[in-house]
Amino acid sequence: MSSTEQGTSSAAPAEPTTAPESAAAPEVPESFYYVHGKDKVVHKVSAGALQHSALIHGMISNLGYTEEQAKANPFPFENIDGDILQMVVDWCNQHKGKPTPPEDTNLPKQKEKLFDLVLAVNYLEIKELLTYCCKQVAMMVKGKSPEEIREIWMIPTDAEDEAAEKEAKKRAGKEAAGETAAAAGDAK
Amino acid sequence: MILSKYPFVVQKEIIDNMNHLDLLLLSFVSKNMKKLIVSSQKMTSKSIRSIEYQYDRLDGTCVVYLLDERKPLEEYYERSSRTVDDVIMRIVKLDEDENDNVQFNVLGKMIDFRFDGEYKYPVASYHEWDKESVFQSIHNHFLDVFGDAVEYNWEEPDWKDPEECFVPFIPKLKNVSFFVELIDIVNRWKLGEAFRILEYAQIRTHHSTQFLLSVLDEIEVKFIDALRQPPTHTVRDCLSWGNKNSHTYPLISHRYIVRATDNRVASVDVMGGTFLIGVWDKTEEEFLKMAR
Repeated sequence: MSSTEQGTSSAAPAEPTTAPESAAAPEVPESFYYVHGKDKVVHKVSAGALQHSALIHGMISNLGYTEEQAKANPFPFENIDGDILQMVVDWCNQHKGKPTPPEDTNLPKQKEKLFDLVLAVNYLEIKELLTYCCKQVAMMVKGKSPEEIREIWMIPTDAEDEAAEKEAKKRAGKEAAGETAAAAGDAK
Repeated sequence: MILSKYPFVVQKEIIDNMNHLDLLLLSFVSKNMKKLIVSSQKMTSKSIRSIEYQYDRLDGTCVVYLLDERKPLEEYYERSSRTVDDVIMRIVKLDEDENDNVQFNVLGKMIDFRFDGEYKYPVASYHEWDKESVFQSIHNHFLDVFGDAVEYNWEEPDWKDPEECFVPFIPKLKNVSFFVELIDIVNRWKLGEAFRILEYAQIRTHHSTQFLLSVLDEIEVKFIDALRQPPTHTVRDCLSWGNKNSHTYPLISHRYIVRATDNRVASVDVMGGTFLIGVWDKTEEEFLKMAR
């Protein structure tokens, strides 16, 4: 967890603590951006760490925010739970500017957390983290029988799939009929 | 965790990270899961060197191996060594005492399976009367899941005693190469299904003359009258690079077979562990006229 780079409210994000640079390296000031999830807690993240997310990277490039504008306008991700966004931010910080290792053992073990993390990571387009997460999801059914796999991943039976498909068709038919009736009503 | 709630691209990524055995087991869970696997098939089949059926005619058990592309080849045989880790299924005769079987719909056919933890792979069972159909359904399922670009081979372990032979079970499986049978090769020639332009062949085996003589019975050879002299079959030897005029070893045999499609004859014989076949450009009637 990188508490040093993370604020607790959108009004007053904490100032970053900068790591000492090598004497020979030219001083390049790092720019920071701000994101928040469903819980509105704002996380301050460096541009380097956010490079992992193709979505955020694209937003930054398109908006061309200054530091001040970025602080005033945190990127809102209302579809992501606060603790999940925190995990994502931590991962991006930990892997900032580093080659990603072949395995990542720090992913959540609980099924529901992992499920939410996968959705968030897919939305934010963080390719390497998505691969790790999917590997972990795949590992959940390693060596299991078909019935155990069905239980773990809550896969419907063929009969349930067929019933759901029928229901969806019926609903689509009703909606189409409703739209036609409404259009006819409008025409009158 | 509800897998179907993931976007398709995520489901595919998960599938791509599963091993072949787990994919096979997932394919039995539902038709939709199988469809998902089929949509990722290019990725799956790329990493497979071959799928090998090793059938033991003595007890009717078939062990199916899936050999990974990354597995090193054995130096001499130019094929991968097989271990229990490569097994993806066993197909066995149904033991009536087994009551912990579960049935899965395999391409419309209900097949008994056992997943009892004793083996990490599934064990499918068949009734003797339904054997061929079970093998075909399972093989067609493999074609769907792993693709038809994969090499499929059917092998039988060495058998030495002639009395153990010729209860052959060779299912008609699509895309499968059969390493088994001299009998199969000859029968396919006789039916006009293969080797139509064959002129001459020597097939060396590890078997004794006595064994190969029993093969001749199996392929239903015909005989020229023992009092008559059979014609000598020989053709120019295309494989003898040094001498363009070299010919094959003269094949003089009372035994012959006839191709059903055009009535052409081939002389056949065995020498040591070698089976010889020389194809004539003659019908049976013309061939018999050559015997004096």
